[in-house]
Amino acid sequence: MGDSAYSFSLTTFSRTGKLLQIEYALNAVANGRTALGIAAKDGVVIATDKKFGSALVEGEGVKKVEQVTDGSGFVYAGVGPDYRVLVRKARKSAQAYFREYREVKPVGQLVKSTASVMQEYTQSGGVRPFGVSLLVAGMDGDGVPRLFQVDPSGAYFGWKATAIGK
Amino acid sequence: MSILEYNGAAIIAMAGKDCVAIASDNRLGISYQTVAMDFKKVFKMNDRLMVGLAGLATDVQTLDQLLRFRMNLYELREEREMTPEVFTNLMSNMLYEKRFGPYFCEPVIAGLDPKGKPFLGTMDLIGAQAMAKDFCVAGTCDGNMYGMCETLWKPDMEKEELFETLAQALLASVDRDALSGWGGVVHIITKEGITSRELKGRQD
Repeated sequence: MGDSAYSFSLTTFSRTGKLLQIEYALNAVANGRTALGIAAKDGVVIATDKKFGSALVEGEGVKKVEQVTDGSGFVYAGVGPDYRVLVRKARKSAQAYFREYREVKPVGQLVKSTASVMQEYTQSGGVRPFGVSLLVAGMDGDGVPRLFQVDPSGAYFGWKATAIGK
Repeated sequence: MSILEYNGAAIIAMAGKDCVAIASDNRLGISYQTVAMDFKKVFKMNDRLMVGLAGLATDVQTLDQLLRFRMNLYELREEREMTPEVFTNLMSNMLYEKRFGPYFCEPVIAGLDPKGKPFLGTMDLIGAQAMAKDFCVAGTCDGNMYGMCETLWKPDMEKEELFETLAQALLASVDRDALSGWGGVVHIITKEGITSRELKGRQD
């Protein structure tokens, strides 16, 4: 990924041991519209709102809560276009999994691979981290409802309920 | 002689009542010359799944290693066992990846699904799957094996009868085939686990 002239990582450590690009990405998330998720006994709910700059905006086509597999979906807080890239990659990875195993990709595996992609963008040449935190909701064959948060750093957490964004 | 017949093999898997059994012969040859009488062709993947590989011996061994590799990674990542259906599809995918330079191997997959029901599957060397409820065969005497199985198999056999039937079918099939034989081994998979028995056959 990235231009051939930029084979070095733009995300570098500060003296205090922080990766400032990731901190700033988290700021972008904190300024994004609220998204939340709650895991219940028999399912998970994720939600966000759509607020537009003008009454003339046609909001119908804009999707924020997106299905990824038959058993999982995403919602986000942060930079919308970055989110769409992650949804595309996650869908493709889930389909590749299905092709290999003829089984729906489990939510946990989906979270791990998406988180892995996000981490790559903190340690590759010429790219910046994704400016989104994701909430991943789903249920596998075992019927257990699951809710995960994935951050720009690639760190992920399981939640019973949580909210991200403003 | 075709490459699939170079080393010789005979594999049969049969379904019984809540159990499956898979058997193979023991011969390894280099064309007409027998080189080993204890060559392993059936491999345990987990306590409820075994795969028999018929064909070129180097590919039999390599595929066993590759399947082990994939299984181990799957179990570590997913923290669960692979079901026979998923395994069959994985194998089909692996074989098709080499569509234009294939592994010369035809697998027979025998296991118990998560509900404990028998699962039998087979495929050609490039991954075309076929599942069966009764029996699956592969090897240099597959015609013989089909005939024996069709005649001897009946539904819902308990594991002792399944063992006898499978053993008779295998031994009679390999006796008329120069490239397979030298005894055999039968594995019976039930929900309690896997039991294996050696078969004494004609050593020629």
